[in-house]
Amino acid sequence: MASHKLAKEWAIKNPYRWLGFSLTLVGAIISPVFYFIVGSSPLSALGISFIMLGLTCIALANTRPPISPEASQTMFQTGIENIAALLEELGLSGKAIYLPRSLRDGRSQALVPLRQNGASVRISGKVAGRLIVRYGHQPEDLGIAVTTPGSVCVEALEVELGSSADGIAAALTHVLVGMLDIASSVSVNVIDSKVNIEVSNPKLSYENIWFYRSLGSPLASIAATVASEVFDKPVTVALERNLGSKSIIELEVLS
Amino acid sequence: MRIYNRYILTLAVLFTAINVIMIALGQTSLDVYFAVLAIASLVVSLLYVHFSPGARRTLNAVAVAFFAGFLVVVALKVIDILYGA
Repeated sequence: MASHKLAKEWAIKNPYRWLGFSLTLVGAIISPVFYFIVGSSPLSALGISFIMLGLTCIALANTRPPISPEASQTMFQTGIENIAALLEELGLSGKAIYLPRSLRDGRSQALVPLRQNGASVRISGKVAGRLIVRYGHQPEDLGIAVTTPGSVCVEALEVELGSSADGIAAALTHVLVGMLDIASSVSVNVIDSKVNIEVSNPKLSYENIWFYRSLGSPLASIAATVASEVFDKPVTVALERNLGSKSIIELEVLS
Repeated sequence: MRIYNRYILTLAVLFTAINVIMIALGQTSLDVYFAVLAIASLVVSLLYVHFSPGARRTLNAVAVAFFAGFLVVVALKVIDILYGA
């Protein structure tokens, strides 16, 4: 009874490992039975298919993070609420500017300026690696710099970032489709300083809350971080729209 | 559907299709079955280029194991042709 409960818990925690071991075990039993006793190669091949599929499932199971999606969601929500509280308390409602690593001591971050109009912000040189930062020479050129989901994703990205629309699309597909699995495809179109991104079947949508109004939705935030790295320039989220199964994000590359 | 589920489902459907087609063609050699399944697995793994770096590395290791098995099958066939009969 206890072992049955344990097996059920194990299956729920990592279904790929459970499926993998089951398929490998079944394949390892039926393959020699069909080959040596029944004398049927096609049925033995079926057993070999089971083993191959099982080994693939076990391999994939080992790449899954040890924490559950529920725990990840809780931590994600906590992070968002903490940053939102900080922005709200400081009264920062301006659009965030996503800075590339070269402007921010090795880690791409989002700068939320005190000024309301993000487009009028001019970044003069490297921004110090602190929470409250000065980015210009005017007294009001102050803001806070925060780490966003995109910052962490860009660091984990092991592909070379291209310098064109294709480069952004490839990097975003790696992050949104492959790493985070929160969309099914991404297409990118670059016109002058505007970057139009279309995300199909997004699993995170825009909500009209303080955090999203300032930093954009997590999708837009990741897209802006990737674009800022690709162009090596500050980027801001100009527009975000949800059209059913599609999410349209418009980024503006600042000079 | 998660990308892992899509990948596993693709492999399962492809393996089933390969087995059915080869049975219909009257194939009885287990070596041929294994070689075709291994190649199909390698092709599908290559098509899923957007996997996370960790998953990519692990799948590459599995692909190397399948490819090694495929090479063993080919080597046995070559030995059979050269010294057999």
